[in-house]
Amino acid sequence: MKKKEWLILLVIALIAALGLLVTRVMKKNTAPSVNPDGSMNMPEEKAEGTWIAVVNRNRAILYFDSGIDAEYTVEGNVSEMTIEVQEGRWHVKDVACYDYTCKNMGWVSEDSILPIICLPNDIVIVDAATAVNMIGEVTDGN
Amino acid sequence: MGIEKTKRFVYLALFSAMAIVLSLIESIYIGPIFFMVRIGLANIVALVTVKILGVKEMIIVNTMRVVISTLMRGMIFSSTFWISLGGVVLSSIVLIILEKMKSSLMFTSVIMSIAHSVGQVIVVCFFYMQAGVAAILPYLLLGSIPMGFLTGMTAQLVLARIKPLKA
Repeated sequence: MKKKEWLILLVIALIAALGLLVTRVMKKNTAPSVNPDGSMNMPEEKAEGTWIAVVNRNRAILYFDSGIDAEYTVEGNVSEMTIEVQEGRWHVKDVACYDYTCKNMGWVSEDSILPIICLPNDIVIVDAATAVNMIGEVTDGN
Repeated sequence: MGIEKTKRFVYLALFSAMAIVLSLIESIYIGPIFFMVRIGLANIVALVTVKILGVKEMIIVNTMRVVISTLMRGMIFSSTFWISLGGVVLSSIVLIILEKMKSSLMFTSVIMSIAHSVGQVIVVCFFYMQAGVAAILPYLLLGSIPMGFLTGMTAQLVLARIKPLKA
């Protein structure tokens, strides 16, 4: 590989690292208490863990408390999805779509870098504040 | 002349079959290595095809790979198909440009891998009509670099063993 090519790769890696840093900082600056503006109808009581939003087609179809062990079933675009919450972490326990990427993503928690995303079902499982900041205007599905 | 044409056709069929099989193996058995980053095994075939046969053939192989592998998984024209197509189209464009610029194989492979991720993210952004999805791009970019080196090294090993048929 030529010197110029190494340089281009280095620049790309630096840009990506910078992007990573910006994403992290943005995430830190969006604490749940700052954001929910009523349009999301997020539960008002304080969560034992964090309020996590299950977003389908720009609508929060479910909120769950990451501090309470439970199982939830939601309806996506193509199938039902069962989400299991345990010890502050959550994962897709069962889904009947054709892809299984969301199920294969395994357990995630507040500290995880990527949220659980199911493309066929158009579902994103993300903390409520990130839902507002990353996905845009999230409205309650009920 | 006739034999040469047949030989090229056979190579094209073989490369297409290899790309489809690698694509299927990766999506069914291997999956993402870390976060959402996959190795991109089928990119090895695209790199080898462009060096052995040429640009036109590489486009055919890549198109066959996306259409047939998603068809075989029952996902033709689903979100997976369009995302996969987005990645392949952008990586093919990049491969053609870098091939014309006579860049090194390893650099081409890495940039192609990055373009694949970028193409997929662009399609996902269009799917959701939300630019926020692009937040995963830095992770994909960082992950694409080692994966690009891996596929580039493999392509280099393959190319050392096959004689080019390019005119």
